[in-house]
Amino acid sequence: MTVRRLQQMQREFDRRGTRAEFLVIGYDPERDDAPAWHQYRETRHLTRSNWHFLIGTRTAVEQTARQLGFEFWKYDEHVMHDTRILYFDERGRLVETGEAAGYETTLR
Amino acid sequence: MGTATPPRAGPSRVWVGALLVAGLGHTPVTYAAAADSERIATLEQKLDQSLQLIRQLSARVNDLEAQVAQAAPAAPAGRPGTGAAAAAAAQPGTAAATPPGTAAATPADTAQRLARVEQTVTEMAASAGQRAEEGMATHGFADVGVGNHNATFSKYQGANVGELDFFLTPRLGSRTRALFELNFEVGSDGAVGVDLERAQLGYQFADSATVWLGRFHTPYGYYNTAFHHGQQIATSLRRPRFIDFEDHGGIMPAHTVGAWLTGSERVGDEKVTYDVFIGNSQRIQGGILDMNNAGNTHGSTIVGGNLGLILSGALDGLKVGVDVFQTRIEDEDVLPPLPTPATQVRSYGVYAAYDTDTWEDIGEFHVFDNQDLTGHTGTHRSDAGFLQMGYRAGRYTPYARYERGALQQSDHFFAAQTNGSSYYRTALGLRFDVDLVSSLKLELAETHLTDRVIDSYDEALLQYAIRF
Repeated sequence: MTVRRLQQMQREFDRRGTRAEFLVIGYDPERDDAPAWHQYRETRHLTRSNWHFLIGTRTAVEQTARQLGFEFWKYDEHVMHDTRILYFDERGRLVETGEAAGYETTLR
Repeated sequence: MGTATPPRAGPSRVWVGALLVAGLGHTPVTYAAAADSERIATLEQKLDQSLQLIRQLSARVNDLEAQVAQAAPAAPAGRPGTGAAAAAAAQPGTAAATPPGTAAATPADTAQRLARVEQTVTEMAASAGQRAEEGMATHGFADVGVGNHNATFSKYQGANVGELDFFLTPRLGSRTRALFELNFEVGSDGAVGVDLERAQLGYQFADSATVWLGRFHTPYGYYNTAFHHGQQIATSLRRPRFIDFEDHGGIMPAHTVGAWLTGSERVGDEKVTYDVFIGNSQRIQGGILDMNNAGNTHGSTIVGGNLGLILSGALDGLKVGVDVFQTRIEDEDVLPPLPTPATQVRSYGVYAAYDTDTWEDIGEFHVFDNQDLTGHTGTHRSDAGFLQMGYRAGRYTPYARYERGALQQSDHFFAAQTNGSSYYRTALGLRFDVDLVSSLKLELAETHLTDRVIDSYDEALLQYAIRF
């Protein structure tokens, strides 16, 4: 559902002529490896070059998530996580954080 | 989660996201619970204090270096007293002031002290980070309900407390694993009982192999290991009746106490999953299955395995598999001097689960080929299965389920169990996600009992389930 929102954002950016890079980091590296992400991208038509899908070790993912303020926990195969999106400007400054529904306010 | 709005983004290009997602369709995807913010806030505060101290020390070091650079050249060794003149220029009363008679700090000394400060800061930061990773994460689930029947114990009606389920996963190391599920639940007598539903200690040898020891969910089929005791996770309001938990009347051994090897291996674009397990064989006591947490008196075991295939491409999201287990189960409700009935239970299963952003469809079918070991009634064939289809439409997920158990009553294994009668049930339900951590579920069902007692009853059930 969150990726669907990102896709909506991509369409909005396209309409406005705004270039944007989308960075997605998987919470569950033990299950979602590189071939799985590749399949994910293919089946959901997320093959544009400005979409980046990253995986890492369990420790690296946890540390990155913590540093970025993304909290999550795993209940066996289920991953509990929030749906926040972080927005950075072209200088790499964090512009806004919020739920995906809040992205409308940043597009001015 | 809060929202902050710093200054506007630049006009032409933005970096959007760091977004973390879980699940690729075939992995069930769910949403967040609250973090241990207090601990993290405390650690962050300590780190801020450490950084403040570093800044102060760095400023002082810079002062000292400047003073050393401006001071007169040091006197050759052997001329005491000269160093004190340079030291006197240091600011009196500060810790960095050189006591009289002591040689002034050289650039090498300063560099050494700075290196020690850096090392201390690094250790403190690493320690803070490590403490954030240690300890035991505690999460859990709870649910309550109301209906014209109790969803689990149909003889009751009205409001009911479901369960309070604590899920504990202490961090033990990069490969050592532990998992505990402590459940406070209302039993068939209406009393609250405590059950250590899962107590697993494990070691992950590789991505393809993890060994668990303890009490775990028996890895047959799909549902029993995809959905555990936290009801908020499942789409439906309850488990299919025949694979419900033992103390809820399930007729299959949902839990095993023993050892379990599990893993997966990628084969091309597909992924093969496997489970092999061995444990204490179960018994029947009080009309329900008991998993013999303390062992059994005759040394019998349950052994089994599960082989699955996660598909890709056009079938991305589909998992299919087969499973088998065999166990010897005694009916301890039959007291001496009568001989204790024993049955060799052999189950063969096939399953499929299609889990995507839009659909959650699950089907299982199990065949029982049971042999009477003591009563000389021979072999008995029974079967049970269910098909559930759910459609994800934003916050709403309507679902439908059909389940059926054709259980031979001449088979003592089923005849001895309270819920071992044949039945079929149709259900229509709707799950509504109130927010990321709570769900309302409504289910309308019709249950037909078809052998011991010919009866049927309708159910209108409502459940409120949360996770934390």
